[in-house]
Amino acid sequence: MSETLVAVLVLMAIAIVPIVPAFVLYKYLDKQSAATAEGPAVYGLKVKLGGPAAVYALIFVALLYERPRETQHFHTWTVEGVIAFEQAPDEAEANVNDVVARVVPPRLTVFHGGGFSWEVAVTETDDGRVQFPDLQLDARGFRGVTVPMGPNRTYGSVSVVPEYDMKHRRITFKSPIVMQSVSVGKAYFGSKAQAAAPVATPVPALAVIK
Amino acid sequence: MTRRDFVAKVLMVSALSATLRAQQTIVRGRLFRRGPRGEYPATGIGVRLTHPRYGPSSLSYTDSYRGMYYLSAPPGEYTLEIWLSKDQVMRFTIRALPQEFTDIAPIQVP
Repeated sequence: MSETLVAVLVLMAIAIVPIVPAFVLYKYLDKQSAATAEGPAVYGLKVKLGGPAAVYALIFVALLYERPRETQHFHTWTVEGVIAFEQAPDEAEANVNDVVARVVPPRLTVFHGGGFSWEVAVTETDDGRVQFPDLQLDARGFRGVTVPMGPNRTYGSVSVVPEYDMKHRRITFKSPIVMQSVSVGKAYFGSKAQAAAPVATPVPALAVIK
Repeated sequence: MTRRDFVAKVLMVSALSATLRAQQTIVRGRLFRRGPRGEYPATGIGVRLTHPRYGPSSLSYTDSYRGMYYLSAPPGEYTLEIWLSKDQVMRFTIRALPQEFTDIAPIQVP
């Protein structure tokens, strides 16, 4: 469902739904017998409500107080640009592939002792499905680790299973995420490794990649 | 389904899971790009395995230093998928061996 359609439906609901309690109140409440309510002056005008209107105003204020307050949301934006290097004349040309890019927030730091606590944006679809991202941990001299944060486990990933507190939106890894040194076990030699046989899929040209 | 059939199915699934866990190998390899100054690691690219029976594995992203990926899997024939983007995938056939590591030769990506 598109955002425009959702917005239209919300506006329609705001316009139509209050008619139901208003109809009930005006049909069954005697206009003269209900108490009156007088509001504060606004721009010199005082509002005085009587009968069903006063009751409706009270209901409206109560609902306003109890309204859902979770309004934070996010959208995906495309960020484009160019990075340029300014160097001394005798310096070797910079390698653009040495650039490490991060998005802040969130600030993802690891505490002394290896602990961490990170605030991570998680996508929720219109129908309430949560799409957890993956966690990628790299350290020089260690094998990189990809940790899926979603509950659907399959082979391939590390065997660390998180615990979920959906009410407080918290994911906890009870057991440590182990990063293994490249010195542990047999070293990798690409020249002596198994050649992967390409399946008949053409290699995309550089121009096609966005 | 009778109670005996249900118990048999549960035992079979448990046995299969135990077998998968017991015979895992770590499939590892390296992705690289070639530029005017030579090769450099292709980092942050998603790689996964697919098997006709086990289905797709989780994604492993090539690391920041050497462009290495690591995926644990039971021995067998797999399709290695390199996800350059959500629309561009490179596919290779590999054999995961019954040993600690199955090393795959470096693959050049665009």
